[in-house]
Amino acid sequence: MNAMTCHDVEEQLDLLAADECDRPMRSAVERHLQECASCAARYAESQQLRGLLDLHWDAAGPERVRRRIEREERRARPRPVVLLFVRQAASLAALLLVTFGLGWLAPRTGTDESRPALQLSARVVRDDGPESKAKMMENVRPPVDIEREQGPAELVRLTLARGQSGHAFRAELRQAELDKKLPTPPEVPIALELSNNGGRSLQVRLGDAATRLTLEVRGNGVARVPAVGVAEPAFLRPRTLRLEPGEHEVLHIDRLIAGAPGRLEYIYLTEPGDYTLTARLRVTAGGTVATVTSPEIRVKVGH
Amino acid sequence: MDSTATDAELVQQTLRGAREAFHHLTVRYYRPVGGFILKRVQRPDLVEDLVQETFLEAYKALKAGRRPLHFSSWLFGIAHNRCGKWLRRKRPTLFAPNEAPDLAVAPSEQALREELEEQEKQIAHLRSHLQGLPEETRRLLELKHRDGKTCEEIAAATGRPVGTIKSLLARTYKWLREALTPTSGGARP
Repeated sequence: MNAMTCHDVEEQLDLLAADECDRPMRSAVERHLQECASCAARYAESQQLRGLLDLHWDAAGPERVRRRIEREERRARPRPVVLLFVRQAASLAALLLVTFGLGWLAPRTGTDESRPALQLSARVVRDDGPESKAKMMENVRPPVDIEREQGPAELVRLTLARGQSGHAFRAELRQAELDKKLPTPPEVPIALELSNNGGRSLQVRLGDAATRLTLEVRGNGVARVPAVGVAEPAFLRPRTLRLEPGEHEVLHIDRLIAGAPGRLEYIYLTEPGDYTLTARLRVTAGGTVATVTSPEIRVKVGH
Repeated sequence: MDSTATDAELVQQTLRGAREAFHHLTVRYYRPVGGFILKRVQRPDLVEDLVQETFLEAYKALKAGRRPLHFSSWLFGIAHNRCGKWLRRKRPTLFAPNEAPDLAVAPSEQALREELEEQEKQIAHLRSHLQGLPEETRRLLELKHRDGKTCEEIAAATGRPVGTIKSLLARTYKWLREALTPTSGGARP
């Protein structure tokens, strides 16, 4: 799309704030906003209006505060020693039963209060079919290359290109950020599974203003770079899921790309070593904004 | 419990362990606090989290025996600190370090009361402008902001083209934005 004028952009700002700009238009408007202070100030007004309208119709907000206070009070209440033991034993059993841990819980819409309604689990995708391989070949670029470890452990192995230091890689990234030519972040064959473990049907909205994927990557050499004007990953596509009790939806992460609609970041692993990755997904579920957290995945970067 | 009780009465009842009294305070101040936070962080998607944290902190403080002189300005002070914490957090480079104002200086009690008045005025203005909208337009905004539907979903539900829905929404936003700005005005959508 050609560069837009302030007049063209102004027509779109309210729709952008309401998440109603289609993707090519949104990228073009966001590029303009990066460079135009007056349109950016106007956009702040549009966001303000959107926020006020959301608040105006958010009749359930105080009730959510009440539920949160109740949850906090339950959590703070001292537990009987025997119950504590039983809970610890149950936690251990759960860890053993589920090969790779369980996700976190929210919101509690099921009839059984002790049972989390929405859970997030994460697993390493082991599909090495032709399509997956082709994608790998197309996307592999220096300095990252990938192997998947076969076996029970949830581990992703990435290989740094020979001959390039982490320092040089980061310098390259800084330049690429300035040039707005960021390399594609590394492919990670990870799938997040969003499950409804409650007793009722649950409507989950993805790609709206509340949706945000946070990838918490820990380790020596993590570089995070804002990605402006880049294509959004599939998990941020606006859609509404209806998850019946027991159903799940698989969200493929594919690459170390996190963030929210219009605010993405690319994540790079620039040094060899061990990293851990935890995904946190914020969605609107059952009319409530909920954040679900996956268990940790280990990532090993070698030469 | 009387929801028309004064703030001081509801605070007293909360101090005596009546959780319902605090709920009345939450209902009373949820939107003004939300508007206050929105103005500072300028991120609609963060408002709910920060509002919840504000009320939770206030509730914990009251349970711990804190007796604020003026509940509303004390609550706004907590909200102000919550926004400051968020803005000062170790930011990932995901969001540009721009936009939101610096909250290093704590506002005075007087300033916080004026903020409350300003927020209440803004909420009342918005409500009155929404009431003045044609039924169809108000219904469209409800579907969008109350039910969280996209234009595509609204179009499917109402049998109207997506483009028409988007145009009406854009015109309505523009009119509301201008109507809420004291110096300007425009034709109702």
